Amino acid sequence: MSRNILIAVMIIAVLTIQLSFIDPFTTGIAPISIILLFIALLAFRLEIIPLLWWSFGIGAIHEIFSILPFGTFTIITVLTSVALYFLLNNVLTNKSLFPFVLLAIVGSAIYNLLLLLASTVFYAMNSIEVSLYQVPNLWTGILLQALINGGAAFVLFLLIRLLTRRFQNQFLVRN
Amino acid sequence: MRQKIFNVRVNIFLLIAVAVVLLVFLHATGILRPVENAILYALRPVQKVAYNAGLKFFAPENIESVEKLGVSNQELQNKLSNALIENARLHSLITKDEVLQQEIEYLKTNDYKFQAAQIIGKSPHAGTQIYILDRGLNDNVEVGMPIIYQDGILVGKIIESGANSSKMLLITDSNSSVGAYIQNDTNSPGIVVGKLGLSLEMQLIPQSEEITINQIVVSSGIEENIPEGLVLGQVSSISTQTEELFQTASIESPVKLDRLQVVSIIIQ
Repeated sequence: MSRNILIAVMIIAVLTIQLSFIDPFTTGIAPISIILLFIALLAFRLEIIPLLWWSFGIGAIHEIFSILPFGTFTIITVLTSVALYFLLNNVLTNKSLFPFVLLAIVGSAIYNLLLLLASTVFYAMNSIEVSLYQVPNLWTGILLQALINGGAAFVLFLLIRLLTRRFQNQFLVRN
Repeated sequence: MRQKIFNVRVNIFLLIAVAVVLLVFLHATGILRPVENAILYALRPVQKVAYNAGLKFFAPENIESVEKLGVSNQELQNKLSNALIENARLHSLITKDEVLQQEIEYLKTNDYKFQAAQIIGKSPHAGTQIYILDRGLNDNVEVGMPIIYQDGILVGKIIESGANSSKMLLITDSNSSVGAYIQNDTNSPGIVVGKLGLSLEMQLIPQSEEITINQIVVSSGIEENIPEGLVLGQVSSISTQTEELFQTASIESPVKLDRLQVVSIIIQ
C-alpha cells in the first residue's frame, strides 16, 4: 500500500515538473523527459500488470493537459511501457546499470516515434493544425532527449543504489 | 473444467484496451469532466510553484508578483483605455472624420474588464505554444477572450476553458492568426500569424501598401472578442516580391513571449 502511494505521489511530481518546470521553457523537443525516465524505472521494477495500470494512470492524467485527441497519450504511454517490459524480460539478461540506461534511451525513442506517428496521422486527418514533424530540429531533439535521458538514468541508478539497498544486480531467469 | 480462452497476459492487455476505450468515451460524453477539473484544481498550486521556480531558473529578470499585478490591474485598464482613445484621437485628427469622432465617444464610455491569470504550465505537444492558466469558467474566462501583457500587448487568446483553468494559445503558435494593421498613413491591413513558436509574421499585406521598419502593428478588431488597438509588435523586416500580390513582414513582439508569468484576460 505504501509503495502504491509513493508511486502515485511520484507520478504527480514527475508530471508537474515536466509540464510546469521543463516544458514551458523549451522550444521544440524538451531536452529531458522525466516522465519517460519514470516509465523506464517502473518497467525496471514492476511486473507487467501493475506496470500497465500505472502507465495507464500516467497517460490519463497527461491527457488532461494535452491538445491531441483524448486517449493519444494514454495509448502511447501504455505501448511504450509494454515495449520496455518485453525488451527487459526477453532481450536483456539482467537488471543492472546498463540495461536501465538502455531502457531509458529506447523508451525515449519509442515514445517520441509513436508521438510523431500519432501527430502526423492526426495532422493528415485535420484534427490538429501542426504536426510534430514540423518542429524545427526534430530528429536532433529526439536524439538529444534520448541521450540525456540515458545520462539521467545512469545518475538515477547510482543514486538509488547508493541511498537504498535496491538495484543490486539480478540475473533474469526465463520461464 | 472450464478452459481459459486467453491466458492472463492477453486478458490484461484486453482489459487495458477496454479501459482506454472507456476513458475516451467518458471524456467525450463529458462524464469525466468533474474528475478532470478536480485534478486540475488539485495540481494548480503545485504547478504554480513549479512554474515560478522555472522562471527563476531560466528567466530571473521576468519575475513579477501577483500582488503587484493585482495593484497594477486598474492602472493597466486606465492605460489601455487611454491608449485606445489616444489612438482614435490621432486618427480623427488626421482624417477629421465624423465617424471616428463617434468612435472616440464609444471608447470613452467603453469599459474593459480584466481578469489576472498566472501561467502554470504548458501543453505537452512540442509543436504547439499552448500554455495553461489558473483561471477558468468560474472566473468568467471563456473561449475566444484575448490575453494581454503589461501595457496592452496582445500575447494570446483562450482556446479552451475548464472550470478552474484554461488553455492559452500564444500568438507565436502556428495555429494563431490575428487581424491587424500597421499604424502608417494608410493603416495597411494584414494578418499576423505565428511561426512554430519562434516568431510572428504579418501576411496578406497588399503590394501597393508602403510599410517601413519599426512601424507599430496593432489588432484591427476584426475578431469578435479582440478589440482594436492592442499592440502586437513592430515591423522588423519586410519581404516584397514584385510578382506576388501581397508582401509579408516579420513582426517583433516587445515582450519575450516564451517567458510570460502573469497575464491579463480581457473579459468582455
